Amino acid sequence: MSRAWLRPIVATAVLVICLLCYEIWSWQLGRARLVGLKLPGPGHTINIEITLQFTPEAFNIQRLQAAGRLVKIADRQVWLEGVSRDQLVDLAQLYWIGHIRPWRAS
Amino acid sequence: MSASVEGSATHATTFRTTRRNLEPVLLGTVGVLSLLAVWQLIARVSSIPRYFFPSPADVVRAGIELVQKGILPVYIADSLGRYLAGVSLGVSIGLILGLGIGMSPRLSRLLQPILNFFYAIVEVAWIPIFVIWWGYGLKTIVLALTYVVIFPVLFNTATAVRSTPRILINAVSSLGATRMQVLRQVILPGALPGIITGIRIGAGFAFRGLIFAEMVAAKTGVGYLILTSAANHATDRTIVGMIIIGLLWLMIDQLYLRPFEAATIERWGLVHDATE
Repeated sequence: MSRAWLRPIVATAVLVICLLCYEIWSWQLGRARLVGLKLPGPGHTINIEITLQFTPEAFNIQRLQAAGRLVKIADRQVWLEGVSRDQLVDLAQLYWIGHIRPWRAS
Repeated sequence: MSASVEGSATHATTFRTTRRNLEPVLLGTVGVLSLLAVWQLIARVSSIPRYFFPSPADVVRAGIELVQKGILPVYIADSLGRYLAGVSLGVSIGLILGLGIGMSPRLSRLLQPILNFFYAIVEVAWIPIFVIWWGYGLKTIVLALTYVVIFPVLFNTATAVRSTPRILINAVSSLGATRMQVLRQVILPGALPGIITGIRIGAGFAFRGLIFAEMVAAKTGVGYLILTSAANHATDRTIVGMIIIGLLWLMIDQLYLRPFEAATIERWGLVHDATE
């Protein structure tokens, strides 16, 4: 086989391996974040308080709003209502999120 | 004695080959580093405000911040997804039309004026209309990219097909080959270097189209990052976006398009090893 074909094959293999590693890392991150958190059952939702490592920008807020109803933002804290189990698992896998804690609306 | 002479001659050849291969990389690295040093020096010495002319260090900091906030990976993935969709669609349509036009003089006469007319209307003029027809988002961007890619692929394919020596087609036909066999065994292999060149040109144009389309019709992507950060005077982020575009194109070209082109040229006997 020509040497020219090797470069795209190696590049694709490296890319796939990197993506796989990233997926495994985010999955592991998500699991670690959800330890001790009681996940809502099917058809139920949870209210959560998210702590970020930075002040959220429009991009971060939009992403969080896709998971639940945005109640309040204060500095690096974001409060969300009505987050389903799947959305919670997805959120927990985002590397830019700090902590997730349950929050009871008064 | 003669074995030692032969050995040192082999050593010298290997050394020359290694030097010849490494020289462009080294010179390129020195060029880039020199540019960065001059840029950093101007930014540090001059009294130009940082938001107006950020230093390379500011740009690196902005890049790291964009990654930490999760913005850059998502924008790069969105841009690449749109790019791949647009290029794939454009290459497919361009290839089919190019083969048809190249093989059929009648179809060529029918479509040539229309294609030449649309070729002159750049995608920048189409995007506002696409936005009216399909709104903001993926569809508009992919169609704009498809439009950009179609023409170079189409014209290069048609020219390459027309350049296939008639004598080869006649020879294969006289042996009883069907039209499909002639296409598969003579025209396509002969036209492949031309087709690949068309794809490479189209893929390059598509990057320019992508940036503009994302500036107009998207809420994510590297083009959108460049536009919004410039509007917010975050020049360092604008430059991060520009560098990302350049790097993405370099990677696609060096890791996929160039090797593909080299292997095709090599396969069909134009040169022995196109990578060397």
